[in-house]
Amino acid sequence: MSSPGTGPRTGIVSSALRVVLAIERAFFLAVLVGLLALGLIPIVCRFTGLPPVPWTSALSQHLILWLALFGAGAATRDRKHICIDAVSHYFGPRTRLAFRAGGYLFAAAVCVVLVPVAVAFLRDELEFGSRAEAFPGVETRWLPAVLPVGLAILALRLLIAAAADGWSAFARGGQEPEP
Amino acid sequence: MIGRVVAIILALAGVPLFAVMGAIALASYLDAEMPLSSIMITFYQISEMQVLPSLPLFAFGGYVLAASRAPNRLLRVANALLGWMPGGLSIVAICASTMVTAVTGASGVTIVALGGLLMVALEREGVGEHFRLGLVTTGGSLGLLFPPSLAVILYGVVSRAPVEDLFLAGLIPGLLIVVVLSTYAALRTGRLSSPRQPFSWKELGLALREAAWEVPLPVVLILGIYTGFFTVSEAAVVGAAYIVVVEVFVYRDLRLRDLGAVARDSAVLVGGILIILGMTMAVTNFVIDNEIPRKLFDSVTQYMTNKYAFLVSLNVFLLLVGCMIDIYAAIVLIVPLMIPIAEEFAVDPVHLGIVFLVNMGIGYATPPVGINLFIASVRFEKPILRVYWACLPFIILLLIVLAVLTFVPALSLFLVR
Repeated sequence: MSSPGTGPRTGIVSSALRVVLAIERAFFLAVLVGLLALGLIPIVCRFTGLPPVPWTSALSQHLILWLALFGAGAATRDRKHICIDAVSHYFGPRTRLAFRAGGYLFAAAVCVVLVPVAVAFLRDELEFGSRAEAFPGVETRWLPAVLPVGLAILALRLLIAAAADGWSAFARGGQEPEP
Repeated sequence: MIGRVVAIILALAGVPLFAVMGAIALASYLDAEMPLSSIMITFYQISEMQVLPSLPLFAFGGYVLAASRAPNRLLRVANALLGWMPGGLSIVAICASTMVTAVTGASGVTIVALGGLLMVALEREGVGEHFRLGLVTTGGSLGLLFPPSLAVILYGVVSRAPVEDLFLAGLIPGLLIVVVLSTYAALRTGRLSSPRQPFSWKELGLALREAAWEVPLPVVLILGIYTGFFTVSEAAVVGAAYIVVVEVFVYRDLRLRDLGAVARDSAVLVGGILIILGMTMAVTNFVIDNEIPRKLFDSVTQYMTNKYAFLVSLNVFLLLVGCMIDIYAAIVLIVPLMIPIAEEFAVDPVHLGIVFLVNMGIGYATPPVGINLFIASVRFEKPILRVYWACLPFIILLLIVLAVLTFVPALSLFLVR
């Protein structure tokens, strides 16, 4: 058996993880720069007397949902979800990883249950929601689409994290999985 | 009842809090035969909270500062200003930790970013290990009350108390904490035999010149907010944009390509907070619809009849919460339940906010499970029991300050009312 990080399969996984990390960095930078730009527009308009752009506030508030769902996905990868974590400090590495795997599996199950709920909410919005433009090119009723997509991705990431932690706990002697 | 016990066990076992709250929301809505889509409707409402976009921007600015050499420059300024005093370097450590915690959000970043530097400098000064370990560990959560603390902003969002008022109310209590700990530090380390650094205008000038782009930032933000020049959200935009420009283009501590990693780190923090906020709002709606705060208040008043008895019990409860739960999670989970009960006891919501945040700050370093204790234990490679003992005198002093702040609301409300 190849040692961690050296086998061909691990090499492919590592490359994929690096690509995902690069995408995440670009994505979050774009969102935060977007938030900065959207926040600067009204300030500039106010001080220069230019007419205000009406949709900047709605878009920046909507981006908060993206940050909540996709930021939580990134927190899963980094194992940085906020937990009470009152007992794990006293466990050995294997038990700690096994507990964390169980916790992430439970969290994945919650997200899986919530995905169809979010789809139902989106369906209702598409049928009865406002057709007014929230921002150029996007109707208000489409905005909740981020919920099922974000929750599904989060569920997938939690499952992957749970599998990696479980594998590390039982097959790698409690060594932390590759980030 | 069984559901609540299961939720507590899951939470204690380390299940991410957003999932615990999501499961509670699902179970509660199913049990009450309410439509599950209400959970998503409530979650979606986080995109309608006006001040919330300031949270990721302040976090981003704080992480950019932490990743740059700004902490070292600010440490040099604090040292030039205060290093000549008895116990000067210990006071510098307290002030520098306070500044860094205020901008980075007190999630252990201060201990990691500044702790190593401070431990070495204090050791050189002849400060004993026990004292410096306690000082640096407790220092990791001292700046929670000062702008642009993320905890204050989140408290304002959740409690609907004006964020500007909370920042103003936190100034005197925050300074009181710094003064009390600095006095203790001066008394404990002021008579050390190592030569004290003399005050030098030249060194102060050089330190200020080096940090000339960073030192004015908190002052500009505070004045901007209180003179009505910007709102809190605009201050977050201006502050974050300014920090990025200064650290990337003026000091060149960070390259443009480093910003992606910093943006991701701040998104991890903010995403972790916001997803709990979204899930908890669903639970909170259910709790309020079922008049649970009213029922809690009725049961609480069987045992205590005045607001001071309530505040004492609340402090004990919050200290326990503070050492077990991350401050952001605690704000989201506890504040919606606490506010209606406190209102019944006529406790001012801004005063309550200060008491709450001071409790959470103390909780960070309170044995047996305050998170800063574990961070310091790992960072400085010291046994956890030694860290417990080192923090104890600081915790006792902070508890005294907490008692004063609890029973003298004027200290928090003087600048607001």
